[in-house]
Parts: sequence; structure tokens; C-alpha cells
Amino acid sequence: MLQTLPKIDETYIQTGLVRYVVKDFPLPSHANAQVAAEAARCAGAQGGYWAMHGRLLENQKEWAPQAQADVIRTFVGYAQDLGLDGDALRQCVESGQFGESIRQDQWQGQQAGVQGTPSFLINGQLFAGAYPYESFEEIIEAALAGEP
Amino acid sequence: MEHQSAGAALLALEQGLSPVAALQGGWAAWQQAGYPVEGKSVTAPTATAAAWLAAGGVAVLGDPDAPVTILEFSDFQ
Repeated sequence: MLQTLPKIDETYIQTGLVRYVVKDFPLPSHANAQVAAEAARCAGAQGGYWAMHGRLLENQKEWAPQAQADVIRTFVGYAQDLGLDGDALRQCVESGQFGESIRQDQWQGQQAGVQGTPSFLINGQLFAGAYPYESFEEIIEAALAGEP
Repeated sequence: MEHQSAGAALLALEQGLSPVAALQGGWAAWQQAGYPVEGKSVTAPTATAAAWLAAGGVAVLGDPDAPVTILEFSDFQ
């Protein structure tokens, strides 16, 4: 979504036509997905969710293969780069305080039939997989026109 | 909790374990009294996490009344 979301934002979110919500669905096969989701939320607790969201996606290749102790250190570095409190982020991630809210997102996804990531629920209709902007445009325009 | 404690004590006795005692007031009373526990503690969501839930999270962009809602389920990795 690194390339697609800015276009959706400009055309549909900023114009009041779309509300966009990120739900965490960390897959068990992705070792650092859970801790990344927690880091994003912990950054969000400091007002930096979207900045960390972008940083995590841009630097996925760096942190994805790291061991857990290293990956937390990496995320603390990202937080500091973004002007956030790195120590607070570390404490937040290590406390696991957002684990329950992440599990709630996973549960919601499972109820909706989500099996992999990324998946999208657009006005309740499930779309599995990554799509180019043009596909989103088509789906959103159909939803705006009231088509099922 | 107390019923669970009594039930667990009965189950343990049935399995031939001893000594066994039922906790009056259950597990909550044990923890409230400050007695030691082992293993990972299970705590309620903190204020920060609760605030996330109360606000519907901060991972939201756009007008709450927008005609189209997109929920992205992602895992960053």
C-alpha cells in the first residue's frame, strides 16, 4: 500500500468520500509482524502512527529478518528518527499493552473471512490480495454509485 | 472464581494429587493479597491501550461519515 494509499488519500480520503482504517492482521508465518504492529501502535500513542506505518513499510527488508531483540532496537531507532520518544516506545512494545487490541483486529478479520494479507473490506465486501490503484478506483467508484 | 477454585481442587483430588486446597475467594483474592505467582502475568489493557480502543484507534484516515469505508487488514511484513 506504500504506493497506492497516497493516491487513494488524495482522490478519495481528503475529499471526504472514503474513510480508511488499518486493521492489524499479523500472520504467524511472519516472525516480526506482531512486534511491528505493536511498534506502530506504540508510535500512535505518541501521535506518530502514520509516520511509523510508512517507516515500517519502507524498511521492511531491514527489520523483517531480524531477531526480536534486534528488531525492537531497530524500531526504537525509527522512533527516534521520527522525533518520538524511543525509550517510551521500547517500554510500550515490551509491555505488550497493545496485544489485546491487535487480537481484536485479527478476530474481526477472521469473522469477515480474511485469510491472508493484505485483504480489504470495502463497504463490507472482501477483496483478498494487493491491487493497483486503478482497481481501487474502480471498486470505490462502484461503491459510490451504490453498486453491490 | 471460588467455584472454579473448588472445581479445580476436586479435579486435582480425582487425579490423585495431594495436598490440594481450594482458594477461598479464588485466584483474584490470592493476587489481591499479594501472594506470589509464577509465569506470565495477565494484566488488563493499560490506559493507553484502552484509549486506543475508546477512540477507535489512530490508524484511521478520513471522514467518519464518508460513504465508503475501506478496512485494510495488513501485517507490515
